[in-house]
Amino acid sequence: MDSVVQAAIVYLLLWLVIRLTGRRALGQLSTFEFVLFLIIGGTVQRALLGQDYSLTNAIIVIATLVALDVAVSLLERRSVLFAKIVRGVPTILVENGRPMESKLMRARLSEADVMCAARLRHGIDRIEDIKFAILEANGQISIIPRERVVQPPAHARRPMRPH
Amino acid sequence: MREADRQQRPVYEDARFQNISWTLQRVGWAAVVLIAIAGLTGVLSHGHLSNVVARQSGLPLSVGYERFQRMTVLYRFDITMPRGPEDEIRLTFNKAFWDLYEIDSVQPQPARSSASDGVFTMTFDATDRGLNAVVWARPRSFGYAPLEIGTPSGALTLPVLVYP
Repeated sequence: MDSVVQAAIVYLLLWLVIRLTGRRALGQLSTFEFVLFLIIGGTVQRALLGQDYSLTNAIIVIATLVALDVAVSLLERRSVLFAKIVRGVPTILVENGRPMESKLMRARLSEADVMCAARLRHGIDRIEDIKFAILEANGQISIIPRERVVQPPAHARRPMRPH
Repeated sequence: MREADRQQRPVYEDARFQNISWTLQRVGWAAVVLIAIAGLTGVLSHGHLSNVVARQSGLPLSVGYERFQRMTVLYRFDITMPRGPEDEIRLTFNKAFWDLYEIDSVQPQPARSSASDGVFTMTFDATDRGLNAVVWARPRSFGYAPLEIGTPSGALTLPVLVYP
């Protein structure tokens, strides 16, 4: 019983840690954050197994973690609220070329992060060319570019004079 | 041509939920900092606030130990008692102590030991300076335990909180 309870607690703890770290860490792991998650994995390993290194205990722990993961995914499909709690919700960071400063700050992101995603995915180099920039639940920043209005040449814009 | 006033957003943004999430996230950050501070100060064991020396007036016995402990970790109990008229010093340990701990070692080795009515007794040869014994033990379970270490004439209560 201890193994199942410990595995469940560690699963919940890891979920909490990832939510506390924020989506920024999920979508754009820096080298340090990658190392941090490696260390966290190593730290919980002993907590999962305790002093029982038997094959049976390892199977119990693995089975518990997988069962929890499947249960969570099934519950997400059944409950919108549960899905929001587990995954989070998307957040609009830029709308019609205007950065939403308060949301960027609360999400611990900057315009530079948005522009990095814009350049990588769409070759956009000006924030005014972004219709929407969305921080997705998985931490990625998705970019919807503005439709560019093609300006006619200057001479074509002048009204025609009668001959 | 004027841009449309009503913008079609590509996602449904639950701003209320997101704000609650961010607030809870910040509460979580504060909790993590508090845990780190608790770890530094010894509230989670191994620190200044955990170390204590138990004494009682009228009882010539003192026990240095950690009041906050963690399961499976080795802990030290420093038991000091001055020499009395007898050549032997007897220490008693209550049932809670033996139920909680797995004894790793006792220094010096007791001359003999016995158990009855839930009390475990160790008898040591007294030196000129009395007894300075060290018991190394690991908690087997977590929770609160009112330990008692004493002599036939009285016992010290050592409250211990063991974390999982």
